[in-house]
Amino acid sequence: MKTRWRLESVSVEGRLEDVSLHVKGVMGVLGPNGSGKTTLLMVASGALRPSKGYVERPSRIGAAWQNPYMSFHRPKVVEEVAEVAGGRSEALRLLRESGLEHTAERSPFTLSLGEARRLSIILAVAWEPDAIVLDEPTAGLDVYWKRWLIKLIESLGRPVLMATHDPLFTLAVTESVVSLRRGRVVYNGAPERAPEVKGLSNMGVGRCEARCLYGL
Amino acid sequence: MASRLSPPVALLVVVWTLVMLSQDKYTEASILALAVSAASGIIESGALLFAWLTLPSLAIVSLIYGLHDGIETAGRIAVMALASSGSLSLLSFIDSYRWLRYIGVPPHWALLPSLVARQAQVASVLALEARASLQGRGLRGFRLAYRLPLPVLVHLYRYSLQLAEALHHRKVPQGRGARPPLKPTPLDAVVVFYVIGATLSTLLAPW
Repeated sequence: MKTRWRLESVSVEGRLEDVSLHVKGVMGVLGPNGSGKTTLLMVASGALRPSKGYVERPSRIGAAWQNPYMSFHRPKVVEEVAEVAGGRSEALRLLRESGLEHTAERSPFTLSLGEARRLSIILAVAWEPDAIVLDEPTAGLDVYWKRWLIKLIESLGRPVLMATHDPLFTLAVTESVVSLRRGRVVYNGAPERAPEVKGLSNMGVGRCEARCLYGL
Repeated sequence: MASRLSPPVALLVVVWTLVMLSQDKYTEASILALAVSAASGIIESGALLFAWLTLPSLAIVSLIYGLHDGIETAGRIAVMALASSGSLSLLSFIDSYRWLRYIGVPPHWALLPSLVARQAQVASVLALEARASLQGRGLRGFRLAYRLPLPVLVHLYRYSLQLAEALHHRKVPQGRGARPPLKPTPLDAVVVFYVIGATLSTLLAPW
């Protein structure tokens, strides 16, 4: 099983330029709209082939992308989860833990954005891949479900690469951060010093405070 | 501004290339097809598609009828594909709507080709997105291909509803104001001159 996950001098024409990184633990990808976060995640997960550079990645990567409804294809929510979790009882347990038990018999296309986001995250992790990619996993989630997501990510024990616009969430869950501007890496290091998180750090909000705000 | 073709000239490119190929005038047809596809930039972006279209024909026809026939058939397919995809990608949707209105097609029918073309573009983007999403939940190969159409169709349907609403708010197809008159583009002029010249030379000097 290949477990190293690194990108070396990766470029995608017009979208990413000479990006190198080594994904370990929980890594956040930050940057303004159109800076190349989703492209970076797609290259890292193998969904997009780079025009230049080298990618070494685990063979099984679970992914939850920006549009959660795209990963649904079954008539009922419980059937979606049962397909990846290996059975109806396991599926119901996962749905109960993620607060989706009441939607089990509904079509996944009728879920609200927050519910669909939680379901797509469950579908990405339940088949026990070697690594996970999460693209804006907090979009549509309230504080309660962001706390659930932090706990879930920490319980995985696998490398996670995650793009987000939420500095507080980044501070609470990531071990390292990459910042992008126009497809280039402008920062790679501790989350506290990332340009997008600096404002919070200057106000004295560190990892502990961020976790406290989420009730952890 | 990027090169554009007016819809009647784009139609002329496709029909004239077809006629020239049927008359075995490969050189004349190839020059126009290459010029149009070079202006649209489709050669680089569609290289894989052209290979997918021509290589199987080359292999199968060569195997059955010999290499000469194989090259000829694959060549015809390549020229036709270059001419039609090049001229289609040089078309503006709004131009095609206005030209259809100009010749008397009712507004909603005139809008239809543009909407179908736009939906095809959206469907191809959605298919890529759905593939990445389904791969992310562990589906591969046949299982992925079998499940791909449902999310694409659902999103295409949702997109159609949103598009219909947006068109209604923007008062399409009636329009909200006056538009500049329909004018031929510089590329139209080049294509028409070439077609007239090549046709005359074929008729006057058929050897």
